[in-house]
Amino acid sequence: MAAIGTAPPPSVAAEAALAVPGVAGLQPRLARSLAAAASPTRPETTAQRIPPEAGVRTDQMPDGSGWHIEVRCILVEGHRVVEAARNVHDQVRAAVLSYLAAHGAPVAVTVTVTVTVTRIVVRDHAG
Amino acid sequence: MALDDPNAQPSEPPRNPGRPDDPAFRDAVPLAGDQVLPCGRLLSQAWEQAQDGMPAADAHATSCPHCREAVEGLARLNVATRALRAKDPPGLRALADRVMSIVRAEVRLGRLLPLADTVLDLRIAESAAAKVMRQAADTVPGTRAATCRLAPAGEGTGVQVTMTLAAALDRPLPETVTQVRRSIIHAAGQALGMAVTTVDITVADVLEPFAPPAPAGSGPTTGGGA
Repeated sequence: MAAIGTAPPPSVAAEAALAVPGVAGLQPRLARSLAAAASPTRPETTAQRIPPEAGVRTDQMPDGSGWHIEVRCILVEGHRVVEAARNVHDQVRAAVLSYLAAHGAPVAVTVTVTVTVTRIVVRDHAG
Repeated sequence: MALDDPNAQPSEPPRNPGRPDDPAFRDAVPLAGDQVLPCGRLLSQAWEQAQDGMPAADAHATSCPHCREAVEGLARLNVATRALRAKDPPGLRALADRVMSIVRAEVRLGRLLPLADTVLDLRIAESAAAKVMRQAADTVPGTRAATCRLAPAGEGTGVQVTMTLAAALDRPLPETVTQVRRSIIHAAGQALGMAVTTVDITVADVLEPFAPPAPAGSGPTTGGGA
């Protein structure tokens, strides 16, 4: 298994995802939410408690050839979900590849985008 | 007070070491981080003795100002601690509530379903997609969606929808169901970008025609459609 260096920081993927139009936020992963809930020092707001990168998970690929990034997004209305998810995928992948290239570890990157919450208005199509 | 003395040096040896005639001192086993009082006794020892209520047999415990001061200080701390515990009971219940709330929210997301992209790995939570499906069904006059479940249809990106709804009987049900099915497939494609392969609909209840309240003084009205 080839050495692939240090994992890209989740903040790189989080910032790229949040910059995509239609993305209202990132949904924290269960483990991070539980960790924040159990923390003895609980800040006042959820935003302080759980940073956006809590919605990003980075795993080494099974064959060790690179990194797999999973992003959990919350979308707002007015954006077609599949297109917003596609944009998130492309932006996150580009940002992570750019980061890895800049740090001398150009390896493969795959991205999974999961939309967990939508706030979409459905136009009246009946009739 | 000895306990609050910032210059206290717990590791300092007793000023009066070696008192083999003092049974309390002789049997004492120092705890990690224990403090030696100026009289040579261990703080933990003085406190335990006070808690056990046996100082009558120990002249030192009743007469030593250092032991007394230390015990009084710990007693005040003990009272304050108990008061705080009573004020904010265990906190474990609040923690359990927070944990359960988070777990329920995660479970409510439902299964993850593919969006209609055969190249990229794009998914949507069942709850988010079902909300769009229900809203689509509700746009059909005379219907109200009840349950909506989604599941992957095979290996591809197809998704099958199973919905129950309530429908008014002011027109044939097959016509209503067809319209709902069409609305769901349209919303799935347009709003989500999801390839719905089948929509199974069960009319589980009858929707009563909506009768708006009659204005005062007006005559009898006929029930309007929903």
